[in-house]
Amino acid sequence: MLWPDPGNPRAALYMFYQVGSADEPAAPTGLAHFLEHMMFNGSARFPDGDFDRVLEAAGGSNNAYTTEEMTVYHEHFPATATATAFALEMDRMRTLLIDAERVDRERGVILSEREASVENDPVACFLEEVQAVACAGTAYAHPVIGWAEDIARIDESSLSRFYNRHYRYARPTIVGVGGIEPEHWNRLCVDQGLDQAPDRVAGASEPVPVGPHSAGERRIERSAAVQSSYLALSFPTPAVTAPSALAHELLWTVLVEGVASRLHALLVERKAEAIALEAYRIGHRVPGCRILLVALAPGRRPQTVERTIRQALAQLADAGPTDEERIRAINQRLASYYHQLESVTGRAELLGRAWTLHRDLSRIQTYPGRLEAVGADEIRDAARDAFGQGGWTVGCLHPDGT
Amino acid sequence: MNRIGVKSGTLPSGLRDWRSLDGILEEVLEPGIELVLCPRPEVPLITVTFLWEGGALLDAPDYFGQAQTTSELLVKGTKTSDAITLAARFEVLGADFETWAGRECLGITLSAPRRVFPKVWDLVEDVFESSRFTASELHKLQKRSIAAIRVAKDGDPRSLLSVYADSWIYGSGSPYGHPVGGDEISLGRLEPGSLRRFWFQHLRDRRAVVSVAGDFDPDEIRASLTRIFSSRKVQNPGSSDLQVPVEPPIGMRGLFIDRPGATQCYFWMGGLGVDRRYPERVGLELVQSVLGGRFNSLLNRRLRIEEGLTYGAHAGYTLPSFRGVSYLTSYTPTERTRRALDAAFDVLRRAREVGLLEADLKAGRLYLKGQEAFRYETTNQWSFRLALRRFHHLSLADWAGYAEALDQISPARAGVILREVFPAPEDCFLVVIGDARSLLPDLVDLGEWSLESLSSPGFGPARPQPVEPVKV
Repeated sequence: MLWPDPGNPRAALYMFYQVGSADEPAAPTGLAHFLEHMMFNGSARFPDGDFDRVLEAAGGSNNAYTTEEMTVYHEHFPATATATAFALEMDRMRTLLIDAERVDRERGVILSEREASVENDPVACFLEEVQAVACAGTAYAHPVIGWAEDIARIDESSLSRFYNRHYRYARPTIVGVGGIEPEHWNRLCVDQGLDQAPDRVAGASEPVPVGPHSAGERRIERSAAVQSSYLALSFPTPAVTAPSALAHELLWTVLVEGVASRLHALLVERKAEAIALEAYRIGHRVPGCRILLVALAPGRRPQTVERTIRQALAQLADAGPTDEERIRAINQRLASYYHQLESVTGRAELLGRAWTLHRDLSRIQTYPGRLEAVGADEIRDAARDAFGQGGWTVGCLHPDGT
Repeated sequence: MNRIGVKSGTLPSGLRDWRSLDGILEEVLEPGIELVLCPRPEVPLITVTFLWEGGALLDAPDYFGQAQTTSELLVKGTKTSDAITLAARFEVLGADFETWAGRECLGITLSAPRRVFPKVWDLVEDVFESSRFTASELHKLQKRSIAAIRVAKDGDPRSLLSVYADSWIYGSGSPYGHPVGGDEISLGRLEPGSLRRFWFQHLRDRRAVVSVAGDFDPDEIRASLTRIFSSRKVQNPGSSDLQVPVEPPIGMRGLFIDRPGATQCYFWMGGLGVDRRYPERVGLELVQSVLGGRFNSLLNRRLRIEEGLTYGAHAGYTLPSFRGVSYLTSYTPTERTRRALDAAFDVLRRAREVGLLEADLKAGRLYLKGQEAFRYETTNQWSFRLALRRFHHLSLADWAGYAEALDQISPARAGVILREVFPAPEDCFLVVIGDARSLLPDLVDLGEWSLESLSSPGFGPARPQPVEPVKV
């Protein structure tokens, strides 16, 4: 799909493969992310580092990310280099080179990534455990990057199988944005046979990920070499396609976005029980969870802070947000929506997600109206769903020796 | 095929020249505000960047973090609103109001939808004129900032490497060496009265640049700025009253920051580079891009693509008003540290000795030209980058000739620039964060080492100051 912007000298190409860590077979974990790395290590026409060499020499830059549910490759480049970027993506979609030597070299890179971002960071290790408990028994229980022992044993045959199934014979959502002429785009797509029905591997079945389920409350207590405590709470949240999804988005904006948000104002500003907090979600297509991570102020006890949070959430679920909170949340979301529209990469993300998650592009244009239509009572009901039905996981990370 | 918004018309005959200076206005507004206006009406947003000359360079000795804390305290309550109410008044409008301090300036980035801007200006005026700087808010900020430093030391320490490196190179007592955000000790010494004076009597009236980008009416902007700066009394201290000691490095000097049990090692190697007036700025940008500024750079190619030693390796530089730093940095599992360090040294040595190949420079020129349009795309980017250019007295005309300037950089010139700016491996300052017990014995042959603990307060030992600081 194309979102043309005549006259813009910039362009972006995004490839949304609908596969992520939740689509991995039981083991080894980390396969989807490992393959994302391999996609930069050469294909038939562009072997051994040529992907970056060719794209950078055309003025382009690129990167990729893997989530539980999708793997996204993205380039931004001068609009005149669209054909080059397109050719690079098509080649690695169909003729990726996967052999033992390349796999071993990339393993070192991935282990370094894991060492730097997880193993060497006690809070990141703790959050992996919280996720494992909150999503236990589901395809979302393991980290996207995979467990270190699994990364160590991923081999070229498992990667090739994964690639054939989810890339070579599957069909990603391809998004172009910027100064790309529609006729040019159509020609590129037709030349690559993208107007034909996608091939499928015989017998390949679509994986059905299981979302985090709600049961009773689970708790984990850990200690590590940290100087103050952390608290992580996981709450159920509906799929992004659920009718209440927008109300939940506003609920979490009311709670944690900005200095005046309810939890930040309470925990950080008024009570000085925390120094920072953030929330993120695991699982989009399926009912998933929101994890709230709170870095406690030195000397504060997780139990006290947990009590404060429980009271605040119960209050919100009981009375709903104030009018001002609702308007604040709507305007904050609107402002970030406008900021996203400013760049070709922001628009490509919007377009790709609207299609891969919702199969509905009109939702981009209708977003402001839909936001404003969400009432305070719907946000209150979202709070009741999230906080009043159980299914919590509570994790505490204490400094060693306390 | 699914498309949205495809129009049946054809493209204009040529892509519009995004680098055109048409519409960008530079003027001086009373009282002494250097104003840059950049109309970008595509999206209904306006971003305003304010920069005041000063920043952490003005921190008093032993009071590091003064400028940074002043910037944070500025929005923690005014005569009419306490801290939370003030934040809510901005946020309910969908406005972002970020205050920060750099080494050389104190800045504010303000961004909001166009339709709410009249109300936003009222809030900004309230902050500029009646910020309260209360002891209770300062106390909370101090505790939070100190805890945040500890959190950074507990977690992923990548962001701390350059803080240790600045201190190691310039000396922690130097205006360029002390931590911009302060340290665990200095932050505790700050007092509300001095921060209040810092803002009202010192910083607010210094040289100021304001840059506005987005969907605005220039006359409305001028009127609003004149109003909110009405009580400003222009001072002109400039930055020439500052002294920055500069000591040329001779021999490798290593600082080892011990994190017992660390399975990953983070390293930074570099030295004194050049200042903002360096005539070969464009060439330096090209050299950095080829050496370590992108995925396919010499450094990342060697350490990541060829040897699989790291997830990322990067070369960079700073260009402040006085001599900045230039460096190579990466990280790797503990057991591969020596191999990664040697590989990085080797990349630097070869680049200095052999020079850069035309093929690499050509790719670098094309890359930089292509990426430049993405550095000037959003209202935030336009506002911030134009403000910085004005702040550093860089002309817009130079900027318009960027592509031509890149084409002028030959391999010979690139080689000269590289040797001028990046130090020889044997004269590098080296900062390593990792497990000293398993690593240090393997590094002693590299040169003289100082050892510090990551959990100790501050950012490394103070090296002796040069006897006679250079008066600039």
